Amino acid sequence: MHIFIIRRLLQLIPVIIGVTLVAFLIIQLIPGDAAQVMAGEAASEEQLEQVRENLGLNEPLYVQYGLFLADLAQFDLGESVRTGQPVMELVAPRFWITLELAFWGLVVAVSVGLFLGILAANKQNSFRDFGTMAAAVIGLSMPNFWLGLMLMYVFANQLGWLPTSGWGDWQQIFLPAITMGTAGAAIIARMTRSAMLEVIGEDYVRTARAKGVKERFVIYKHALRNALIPVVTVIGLQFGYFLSGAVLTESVFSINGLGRLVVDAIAQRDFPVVQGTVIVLALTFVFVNFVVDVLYRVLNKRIELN
Amino acid sequence: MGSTVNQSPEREEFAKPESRFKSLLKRMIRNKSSLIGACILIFFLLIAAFAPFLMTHDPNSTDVLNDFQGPSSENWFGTDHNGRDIFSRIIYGTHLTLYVGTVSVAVGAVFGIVLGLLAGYYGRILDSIIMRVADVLLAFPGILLALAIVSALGPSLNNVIIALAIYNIPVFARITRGSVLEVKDVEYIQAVRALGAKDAKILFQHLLPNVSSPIIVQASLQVATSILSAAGLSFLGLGVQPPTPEWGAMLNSGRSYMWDNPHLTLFPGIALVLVVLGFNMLGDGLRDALDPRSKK
Repeated sequence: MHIFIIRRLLQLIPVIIGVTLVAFLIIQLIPGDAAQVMAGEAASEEQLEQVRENLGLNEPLYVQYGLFLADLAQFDLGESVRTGQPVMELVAPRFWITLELAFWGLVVAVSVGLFLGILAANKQNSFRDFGTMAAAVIGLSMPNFWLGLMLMYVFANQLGWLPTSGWGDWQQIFLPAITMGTAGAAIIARMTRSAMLEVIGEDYVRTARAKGVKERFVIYKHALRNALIPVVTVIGLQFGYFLSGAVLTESVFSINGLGRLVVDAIAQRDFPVVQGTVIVLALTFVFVNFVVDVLYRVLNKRIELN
Repeated sequence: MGSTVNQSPEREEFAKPESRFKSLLKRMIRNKSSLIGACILIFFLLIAAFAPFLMTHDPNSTDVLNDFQGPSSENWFGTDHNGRDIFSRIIYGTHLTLYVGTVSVAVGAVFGIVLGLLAGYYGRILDSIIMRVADVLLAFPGILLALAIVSALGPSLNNVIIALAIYNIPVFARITRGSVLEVKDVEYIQAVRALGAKDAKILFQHLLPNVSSPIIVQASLQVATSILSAAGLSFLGLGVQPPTPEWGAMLNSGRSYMWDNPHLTLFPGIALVLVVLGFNMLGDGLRDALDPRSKK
């Protein structure tokens, strides 16, 4: 197990380096003079030189990347071109908001997804099964930002039950969490259903039934436990998608998280902020995937035995 | 050897390339999900093809005196903040949505398939390099990579396609490589190799057809994802620019007036859901139809 974790950690190194390289290269993708784009059309030659100096754009590419990495190693993501504030100061407080949002989205996705998946698997090919799976594929096909707008219109504007936007109050959690969690719930429901159906067909479940174990007990104690193993992987992946889904959800509900930050930074052509946010989100995703891999390993003892 | 008696009729039929396509088509029709998905997509393809005849108004002609009209017999889906006919704008926008989704997947798939074939077939260092790069690109969750690329290239339809194509490459590379590893050592491929076939011929004529099923399924699901991502980018103002009637952009401009005029955001959203649903159902159905385990 320790060897597995160490090996998996070592595998992370090239990915982390690659992620920083891709984020670094974003500025190189800007057509024309990057400094001009960031400083604006009206910038004087001095201001342009200042931007180039600050970002090290006068250095050769590999030196730039080396400096970028050296700063990164000290948790320095550079400074905003607009305000001069360290990017880290902008990112850190918003990171927690986005993480919190993703967490609530995950709560919705997992609870609704598991519930519907079990419901469907319990009575395969019934109307209930068909209805649940139809709802799942529709949930999967809905753009989350549109769902957010519709929820906002119905529950905030028409019914007045919940606040339209913002973050901080507990009432403000519901709509963004449902917006984020719906597609995930759909994926988890489908995954749970197929995993349950596979397990229900196994010998030990049949044995349990034959022994006269109560049906509910069979489902929860025997079937669900084993069915959950592949579901864990999906849940981990979903968390990653919530991090990127936050970009749209935060925009819909005016939540001041990383997603809003990156969208505003793009609008202001503030590339150090864009780079910093992208790196933080991607590395969080990499880390979550690592944790999920290890968890999967722990849960699935069969893999270890082989 | 030369006697024709040994050749059973089934064998002959199996050798015909179209019989495979026919059997796929048959299984697709039997599968309700793919059938419904295909019908939805044909519906939207027809809308896109005959858009000029279906539009009741010029999608870009503004009529300020007639703004924010609710759905009526004159404007079926109502009018927007500039008095433009929403029904006509959705009809016109159909081809944009289908175009972005399919082209970005097609481009991403071509590059991804070639890289996946090379990685899977040659293995070793080439495999390591290609797959590590794919790992890195896949480390950016969801639309984050596309967002980063478009932020640098600038907002436009073509840049969205470029960004989504790049986002699609590692997905196809990974799935192709995995399938190649499964089939590259089967006797049939070994036999072709022993006969002295060139690598390019083995790769594209023999390996590719044998790994095409999962790729086709993935392509359909990936178009759905790409359409959602493209609409999301337009919604953030990073994709197709107004006044072009792209559905995501329509949602973005409509949301400011949504409180009193929900029809501005309702109809483009429903159109999006339906198209994406079509690709998702087609993909799901194809997966079931192509999965050898589910064959009856």
